[in-house]
Amino acid sequence: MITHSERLSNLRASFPLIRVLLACVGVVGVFSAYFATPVSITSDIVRYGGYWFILAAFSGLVGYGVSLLQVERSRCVSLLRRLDRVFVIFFLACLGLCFVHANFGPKILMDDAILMSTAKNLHQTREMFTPTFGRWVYNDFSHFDGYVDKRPLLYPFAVSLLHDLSGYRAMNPYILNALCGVLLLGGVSLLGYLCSVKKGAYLLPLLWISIPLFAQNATGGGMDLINLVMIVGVILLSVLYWQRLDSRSEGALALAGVLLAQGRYESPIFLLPVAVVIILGWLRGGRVILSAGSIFAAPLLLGLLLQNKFFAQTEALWELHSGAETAFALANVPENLVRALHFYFNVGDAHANSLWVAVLGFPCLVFFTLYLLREWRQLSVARPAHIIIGLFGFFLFIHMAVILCYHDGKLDRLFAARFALPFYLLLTISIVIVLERLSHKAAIWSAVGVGTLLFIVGFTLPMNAKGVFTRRNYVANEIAWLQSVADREFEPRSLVIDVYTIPWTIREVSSLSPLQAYSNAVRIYEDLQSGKFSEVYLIERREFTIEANTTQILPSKLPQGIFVVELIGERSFQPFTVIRVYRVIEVNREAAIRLAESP
Amino acid sequence: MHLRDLLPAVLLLLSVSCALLLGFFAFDSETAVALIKRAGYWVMLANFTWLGINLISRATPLAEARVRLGGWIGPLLFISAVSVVLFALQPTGYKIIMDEPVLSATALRMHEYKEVMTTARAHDLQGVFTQLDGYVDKRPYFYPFLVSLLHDFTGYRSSNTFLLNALLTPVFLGLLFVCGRWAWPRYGGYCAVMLFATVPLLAMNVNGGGFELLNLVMILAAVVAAKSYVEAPSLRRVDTLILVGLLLAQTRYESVLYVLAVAAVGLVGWFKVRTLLISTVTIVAPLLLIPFALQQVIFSDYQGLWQLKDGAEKPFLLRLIPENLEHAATFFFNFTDDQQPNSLLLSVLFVAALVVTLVLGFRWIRNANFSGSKLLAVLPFFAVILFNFALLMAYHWGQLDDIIATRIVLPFILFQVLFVVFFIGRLPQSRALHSVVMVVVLGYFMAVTVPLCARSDFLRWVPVQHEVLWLQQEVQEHEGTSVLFITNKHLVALVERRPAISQVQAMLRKGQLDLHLRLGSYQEILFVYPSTVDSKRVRELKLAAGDLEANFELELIKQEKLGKERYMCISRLKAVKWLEGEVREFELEDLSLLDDADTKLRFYARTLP
Repeated sequence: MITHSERLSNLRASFPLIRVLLACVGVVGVFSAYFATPVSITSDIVRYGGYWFILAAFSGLVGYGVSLLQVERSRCVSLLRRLDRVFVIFFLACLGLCFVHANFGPKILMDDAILMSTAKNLHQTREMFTPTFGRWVYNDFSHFDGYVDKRPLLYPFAVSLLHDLSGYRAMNPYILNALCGVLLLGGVSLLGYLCSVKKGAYLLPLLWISIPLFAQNATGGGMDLINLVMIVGVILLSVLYWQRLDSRSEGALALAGVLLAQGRYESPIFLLPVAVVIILGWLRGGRVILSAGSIFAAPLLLGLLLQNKFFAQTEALWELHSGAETAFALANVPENLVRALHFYFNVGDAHANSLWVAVLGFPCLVFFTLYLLREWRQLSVARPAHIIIGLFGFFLFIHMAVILCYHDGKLDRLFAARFALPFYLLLTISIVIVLERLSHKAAIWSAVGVGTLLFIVGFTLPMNAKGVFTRRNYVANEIAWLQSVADREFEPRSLVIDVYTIPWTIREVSSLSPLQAYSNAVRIYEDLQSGKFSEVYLIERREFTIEANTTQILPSKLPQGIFVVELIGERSFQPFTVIRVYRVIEVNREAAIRLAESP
Repeated sequence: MHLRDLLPAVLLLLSVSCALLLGFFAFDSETAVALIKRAGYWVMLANFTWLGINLISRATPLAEARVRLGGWIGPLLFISAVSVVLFALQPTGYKIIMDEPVLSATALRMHEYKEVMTTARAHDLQGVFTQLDGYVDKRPYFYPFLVSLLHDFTGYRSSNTFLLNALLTPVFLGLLFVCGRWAWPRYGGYCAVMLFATVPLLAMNVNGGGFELLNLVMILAAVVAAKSYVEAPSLRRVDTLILVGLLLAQTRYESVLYVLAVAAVGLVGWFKVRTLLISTVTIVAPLLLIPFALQQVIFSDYQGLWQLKDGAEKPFLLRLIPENLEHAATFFFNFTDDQQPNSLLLSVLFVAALVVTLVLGFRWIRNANFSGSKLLAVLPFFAVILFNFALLMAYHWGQLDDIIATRIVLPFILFQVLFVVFFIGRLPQSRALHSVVMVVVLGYFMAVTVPLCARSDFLRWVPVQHEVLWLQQEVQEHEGTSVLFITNKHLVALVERRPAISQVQAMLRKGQLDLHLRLGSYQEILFVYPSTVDSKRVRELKLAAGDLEANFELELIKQEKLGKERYMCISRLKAVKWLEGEVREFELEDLSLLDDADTKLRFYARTLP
């Protein structure tokens, strides 16, 4: 038995001075670059260099993964052998339940559209750039305007990789998330197995199927699911590292941490538990491993840091609304907490929550915490996986705390519900671990399993089928309808005037916001005359008012007399609002000049 | 006997008393509607899950005996082949209107809301197809429940109602094969399946969306469970029998009587082992039937649900029997009318078997090598089938040659088939007999049944069926568009998940219709209605829309001739007309006072027609 002092002396004896120095240089270099780089050029560095940082991290992780597979081949083979036919059928059934009511399409606008646009640009130019305006020049659709977006790069990078490997397809973002759904279910099965062997491997994915939010994200175009897959992946790699304590697993863990940090805005939080696990591993093994992956981890985070720098300095990107002055504040916690509980314990079909997981999970979370606090010493020897899961669980809790401080962290809002996913991981893991701790009796596990299945049939599947939380997003419906009108009615190489320009740009249709279009009406007139644009279409949203029992449509907010238009389509997607599509049949040049000259 | 041994029996008595009290006396029809709507689905889900768990626990030892499956490959192939042929014999679609669309609409409601209810009004509420008002229907809801499960597990498709019957076909034929083998050990399975296949009514139901096939499946499943229980009575086996019996009771109106057969078989088992085999399922079973009883409370309070026709005052009357028997004879022995889905062969064989049996007396049966457990399991169910047939003959709508009523005879046909097979099985066995039977049955099937099914769908005199199929097609063509359908067959549009209301609703909510026409909530509001043309002025083609034209300004956009002087029309709503003295407006709140999107949405929902 090696004592603690022997371990420390071993650590000193095997200290890899050069590697430690290199790592220090990396860390110092990154922070120096962060502080020394002027804000004005950070966006350019991110635009042209961001892709390469993440590609390097990804390549390193793939390399480590292959190497780990080679050394762990026998364990993988034995695990696959232990997979019986029943589990395979069960797993396929879970996938079926997840996708049976699939409604593939954007769920969060404009997030999904912006990520899709960034991914397309990464695929075509390797620049982290979101185009907002493009035009056909000869036979190419060239981008002339855009911006470097605040959104973390992992998801667009993964989509661009899918474009690279399988050819560009507008469906690729959804295919990627569907793959992430499969990976997540596989990951939680493994996690369940670590928590409670076979019973956990069955129950944990089943609990996830009961969460409609999971199916919603697995069929959407957002970055939340890949972030969750990375969290599960990092937990699994941490357990593997704890078992192996070698440079392969350490390097893989460090690089997976780097990728996870770029999964969502809050995900850099998880760098801390990764670092803690790595350092505890050194202490446990009595040597500093410091693989190449760990040394390069810090420099590879430069892109993320610089992106955060200009994000932090550009207030508009925070999208502060409803009078919020700062993005994060403790003052937001009470309201957000109430709304989070409203979300988790909602009994209706308006939110994509799982009441079953909440009812079981919250008490289990308390028990799980008590269990870790009371037995952590014994567990560190007997069940290290529980300790590692507990450590990440703590950071999942911190993650939720951060969300609760966020000015827009109201989980019962349709667009914010997805922030709840990581906390669901903590709740579901708590259920499995507490059940494992409470009883080995098959009857209790069967009861929870049958209960989960009945909940899925009685609540989850109808909620997924109705998809209130998805379909009520009228902007997505509007855009889908506009695209269908465009396919049917629009001339090629036309200009569209619409408040949402990015979805048009993705489809290689020139588009301008009304503000830009009206202020450049003379230019549009000239472009129409010269044949740069074959037609101009105007999209307008008009609201109705009801006063004194009479209904009236409100006057247009757009300047009148510039564009002479004819109506080609009208539809209502939101109560008391209609969206109209006009064809511009004439541009009044004199009126356009007067508007341009007016102050 | 120790007091503790009596406890299960006491609990069972208590449970029966509770079930009777809660089911028939504790609630008025209004409360019963609310209870069934909210709890009916869950009670059935519990029953179904319990049966699933019971079957899984029983299947484990069976799985070990899989080596014996080898002998079943031939029958499996035969059943698959017959199933495929039955699918091909008739077109797939609604057969009995409005029964089948009502079942489909109930299944949709159960799928999306887990409520036992038939939606009567649905709208598009900010992109979400939202089912609003509805009513608790008189029809038992095991069939819609299964369709809703199919929707849950495979995604919503209006055709799932037909898919369920397609899936049930091999199950039914398989169970029939098993029972046929009991009646005539060597060839009975094949004979029973082929004999039933000669009845075109089977092919019709296999390709329809009604609950008749499920009823047959459940009767046979109960018979099989009863035989298994009587052979070796045990708690697990009695549980299977009871749970199957409970579901059977909720499959068709009169199927509740099979509960008596289940009880009789249960008593036989008790006598056999000389113990009261009372399990938890036995005790809970009466409580699981409470929703059925509540449905009867609603049924008895709303006499309109009996759909009494031709001036009938009561649904069942003894004086109807002679007339109905005449109609039954017309159906069973028809050989000229293409619109009767009967099998003359089966009827003749049945009568012959019956006459011979009566002439020779029951000596035959007594001497036959017919295992007691089979007899004891089958007889109570046959008794109920015969009683139900007698009941049908006294029913005001029991004219079997009316295609709307014909399907009710299916359980009796099942009895006929098994009786004929049993009879043939008692004849002196020889190769010649086997060959003659098979050649006659197969020959009749090929020479009569197949061509009859090819030239007739048996629904020529049911114009409403043609209208419904036409409407379904029109509604399906409007996929992806924003249309509100207003028609008296609005359930057909609802089942396709399209916003729809009835014409009656439209008349009652003209103000709301006017408001949403002005708001442009739908791209189009379409009225779909049947119309007739005066044959003397057929050239004018002025299609009368009845009250509609007085209340709405309509633009005819499509008309289709479905039969002689019968048209279906689709008209676009242009404006709402106001009659003299009619209140034009309804109270609206000022939109500016509604601050958030949710409040606006709720207000919008309240204003919908």
